[in-house]
Amino acid sequence: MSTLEFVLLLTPGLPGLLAVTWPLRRLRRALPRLAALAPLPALALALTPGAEGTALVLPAVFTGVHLALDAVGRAFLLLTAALWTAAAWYAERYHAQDARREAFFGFFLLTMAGNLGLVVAADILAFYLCFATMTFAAYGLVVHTRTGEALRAGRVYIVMAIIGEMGLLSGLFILGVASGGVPLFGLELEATWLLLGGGTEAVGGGMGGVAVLLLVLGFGVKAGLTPLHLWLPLAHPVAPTAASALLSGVMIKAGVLGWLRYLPTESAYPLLGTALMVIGVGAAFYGVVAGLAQGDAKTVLAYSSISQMGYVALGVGAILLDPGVAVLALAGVVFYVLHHGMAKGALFLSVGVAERLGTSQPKWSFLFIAALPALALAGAPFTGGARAKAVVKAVIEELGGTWYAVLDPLLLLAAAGTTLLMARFLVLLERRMGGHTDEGGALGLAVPWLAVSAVGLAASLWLPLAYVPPEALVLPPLRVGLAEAAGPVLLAGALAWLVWSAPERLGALTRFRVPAGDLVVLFEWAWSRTRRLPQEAFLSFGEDMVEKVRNVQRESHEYAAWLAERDLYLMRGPLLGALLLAFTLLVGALLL
Amino acid sequence: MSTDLIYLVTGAGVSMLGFRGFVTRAHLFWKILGINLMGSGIFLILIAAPPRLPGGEADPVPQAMVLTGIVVALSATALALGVALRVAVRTGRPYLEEEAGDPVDHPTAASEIRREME
Amino acid sequence: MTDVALWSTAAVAGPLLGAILTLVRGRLFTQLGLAVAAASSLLAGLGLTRIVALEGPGRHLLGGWGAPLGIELLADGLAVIMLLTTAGVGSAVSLYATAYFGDVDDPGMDVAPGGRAARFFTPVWLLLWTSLNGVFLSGDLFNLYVNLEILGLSAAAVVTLAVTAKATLAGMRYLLVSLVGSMLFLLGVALLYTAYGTLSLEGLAAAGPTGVVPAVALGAMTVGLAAKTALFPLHAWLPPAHSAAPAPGSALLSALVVKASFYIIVRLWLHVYGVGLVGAGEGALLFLGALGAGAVVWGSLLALRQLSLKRLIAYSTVAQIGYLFIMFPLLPEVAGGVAQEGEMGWRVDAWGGGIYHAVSHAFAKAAMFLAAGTMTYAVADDSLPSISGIAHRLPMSFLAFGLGGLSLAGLPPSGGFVAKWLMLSAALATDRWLWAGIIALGGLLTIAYVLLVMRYALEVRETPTAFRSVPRRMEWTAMALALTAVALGFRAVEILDLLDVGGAAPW
Repeated sequence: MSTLEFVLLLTPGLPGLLAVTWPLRRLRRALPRLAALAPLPALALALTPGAEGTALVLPAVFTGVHLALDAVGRAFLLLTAALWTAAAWYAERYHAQDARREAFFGFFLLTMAGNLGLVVAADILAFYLCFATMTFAAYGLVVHTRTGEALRAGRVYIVMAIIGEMGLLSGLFILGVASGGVPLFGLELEATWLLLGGGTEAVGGGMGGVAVLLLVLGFGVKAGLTPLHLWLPLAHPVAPTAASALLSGVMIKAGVLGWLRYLPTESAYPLLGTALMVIGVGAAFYGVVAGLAQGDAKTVLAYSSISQMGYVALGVGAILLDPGVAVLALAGVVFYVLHHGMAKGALFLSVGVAERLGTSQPKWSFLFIAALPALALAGAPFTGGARAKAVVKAVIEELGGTWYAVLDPLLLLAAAGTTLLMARFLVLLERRMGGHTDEGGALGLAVPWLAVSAVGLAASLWLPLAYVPPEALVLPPLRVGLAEAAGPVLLAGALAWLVWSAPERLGALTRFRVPAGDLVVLFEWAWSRTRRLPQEAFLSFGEDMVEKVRNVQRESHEYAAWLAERDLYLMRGPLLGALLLAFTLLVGALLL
Repeated sequence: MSTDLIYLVTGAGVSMLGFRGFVTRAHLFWKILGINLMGSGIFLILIAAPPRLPGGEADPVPQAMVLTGIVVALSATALALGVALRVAVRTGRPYLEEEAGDPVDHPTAASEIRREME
Repeated sequence: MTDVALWSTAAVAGPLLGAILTLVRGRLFTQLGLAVAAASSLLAGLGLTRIVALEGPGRHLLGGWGAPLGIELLADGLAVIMLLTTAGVGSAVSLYATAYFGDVDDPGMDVAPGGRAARFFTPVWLLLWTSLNGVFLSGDLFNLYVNLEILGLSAAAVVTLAVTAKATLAGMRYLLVSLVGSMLFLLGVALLYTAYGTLSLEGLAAAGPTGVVPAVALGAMTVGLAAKTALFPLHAWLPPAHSAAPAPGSALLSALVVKASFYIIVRLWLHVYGVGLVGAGEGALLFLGALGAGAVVWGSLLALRQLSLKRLIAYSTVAQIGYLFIMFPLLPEVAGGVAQEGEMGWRVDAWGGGIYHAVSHAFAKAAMFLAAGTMTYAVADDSLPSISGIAHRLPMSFLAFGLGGLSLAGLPPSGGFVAKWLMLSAALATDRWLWAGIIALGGLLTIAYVLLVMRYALEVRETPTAFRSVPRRMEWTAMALALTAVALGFRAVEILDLLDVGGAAPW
């Protein structure tokens, strides 16, 4: 085993190892301090030049686990490892006074092991195991505060996660069956897709569409694809800040990685591709509108993530629609993910810093630095965001025709929306600031926050050049971005001016609020209605609707009662005897 | 050969009678007796198995099996009667509840679910 | 004396000796008997595994007498896997039982020190263990019958150890069904002997049984054994019996006893009748599968409606037994099928999946019953509402239950996942979408009823119920079993390779 291979093994291995030492009391106390060391092998691996192509097979584990690093994986690993390192450092300070910090870091390390593992997992089974570990361990992070809100968010999170896992498992399963094993990503997988897309004579032939749909939806839950995003605006804000940064910064990207790794890049699925692109554009707007109507800084950021993941879905949809743009779109999506991950991570971390900012500490310089990643996200000139949007534009240009004509102005509008959303975030952030008497609190948190901000800003400018396939070099140069990027900012400025300059006319609009978790709230409302007392339900639903709902409930009870009664019949001697005799003769007859 | 046939038919008849008793009778004693009869019928069928040895000698294997079978049947009957006696003592009657025509008292029963509904 | 002879004799004689030892009154002899039984079973299982893995299937003729009069012990991959499963589950349950009966004073169960249940559980259980090992190692039909009968009697005795009227009725019903099942099996044995003049499984397989008499014989034996395995719709005796038995007894009945009769069905269908079934018998295989599918749906739906914890787990057993029979229609190799060819036209993954399910279900279900026993012991009540909030009091038992449920539902990583994955592969590779759907549906329903229990256990309760502390041993034995069920998901290859020794044609 070479050094690189060993580091590859440590990438999920070290956090996993630390996580399983949890039951040892003495080590458990040290975990908060050790957590920041756990992602270091991953970080080292991502930064080592020429680490692509490192691969490792562990034949002893399960049916053989394959780990490998490719170019896309390396880009994701860089983002994932960097943000986990910073978040671990941040969390150690943030939870210094937390009575349940040991439990937090247990889940934290387990989630980390899953997240880093899935980036380097090369076969379906290993990927799924890591994905599931991350998903379920992150539940512990979401509900960490144990408040009613957190538990509710956790409930929605876990239900959505299980739905996602089901879709995912079914989709991966079809791939596994068609390939006759656990296919590795890359060539082996493309061959499987060809088999699935082909005629019906092959195993699972013609199942391609179903598999793509299942994978899009399964990973879509994690990636916050509208309308599967329900858990996201609830879970991201209630989790402790370090965990929110990770949820929004890297964990939703695991869904994107799943899309990139496991969806076909050489077979076209035009219908699904179109649907995904339409949903993506819709989500880009929906996230903005719903986000503007929020009153909490972290919730605004969560909705911004939904909006940004819309762009990513657009790119992935383009690959499905036309494999011809796959190379460019892949580069674009990877770039987008890197840029958004670091910027969103920095923004979430700044919320925690703001909360603990002392009364005498420099508010305005803090706000200024906090505004930088926000500007990047809004696509201001000279930032990674400007470039990211240029890449998306290049992809739709490549698609050409109607796509370009329709999407280009829409994307400009959506970018303006993002700018507004960021402005809204900064206003809310300012309200959260200060008032803390302990001056040291914010300082401890500031270092990892500043590091993420700085690395994010710098990295999103030059790193993609080194980390995405050479074809990505067709990325438009920066100066092109300047003129284009200024557009949405100006547009947003105009809109904002309109709103703030005429508050008496637009007053109703500015007071408009959407409850966090939008559709969930609707579901919960509908659910509670069906179970309310009759007279209350009469008022809102009307008589026969209530009657229908209650009938369904009664019928399900009746049905269960019927089943239970039949089950008792089966005990009776005559029936048992008749069954024994009849089955004996039947099996005998069938054997002849 | 005809003797064997008689054994065979009698054996089958006796086991069917035993099975019928087990199935239709509610009293535990009859049920146990029915199972015993089934066993005896099968033993008869075994005895009737055609001799396999050269020279027309009787095959000792079925006899060995039947002897063992009788021992097993004896212990099974003893245990069954013991449990049946205890059923009679604990419930006051030598019946399985579902066959005495009583409502069966199990927490899964429909009555429970109905009660939960109200 | 060869090694095979030594170990296979030890597997049967060890628990029997233990049972005799425990008849001497006193704690010391009880523990000594359990230790002798557990040690000899574990050693025999490992020793035979080594021989089978290195040298292939082994046999031993007791006292040098061959078939048809003598007793022939036979160890192949399947046999040693079942033997090891029994040794593992049996040892853990024995440890649990020493704590459970040691100081429990439960008036409903009469398990007080010196009480009837406490006194008789160990000898009855060791007799049960003897017959389990006997069934797994038997190489001839009559020997199987005798062991099966001892198994049925001692299993029914375990149920009647609890003194309530309900338990006595459940035990009586179980005993009657079990005896009738044995009679049907004996009828099949008699018919086969009449037709072929041999009782050895090997000899019968060589004769290649076909025709009316063997068909009726297999029908009778299968149905008799299915009644003992509690295959739907012959399952009605199981939920009352398994839920009424004392907790360690429930675990043994659900984990091991039903598997023994299933094991004989597998032996008969795959090994004795074998190829003869591939063409003509497919209807019969489908029929068994259909009953299995019925069991999965029926058992799971009823499990969802239970108000008592142990009955819920018992109905879950009914459902999981269904999976064992869903294996049968997946077995025949379909012409033009792509996946691995098994010997004799059987699909390797279907049969591996079925046996893997039997093994992982044994560990998972034993863990769940033991954990449930710990919970009901702590609150002295078996109803679901009474265990609300127990997760905060007994986190380890709760976790053991959850991990067992994870394996049961077939979620990765766990033994249950491997089993269902193999069975699903077999179903999909031969385009049997309906079976795949039922396997998946069963998994969803399993998640539902496991979550139902967890919801109660996690509830926060304002007025705490009476709670008594639990011996630690009861908690960690369940945990060990649950962890084994999960660990089975990691090293599947070795076990499947072992199963392949002798494979679908051990002789």
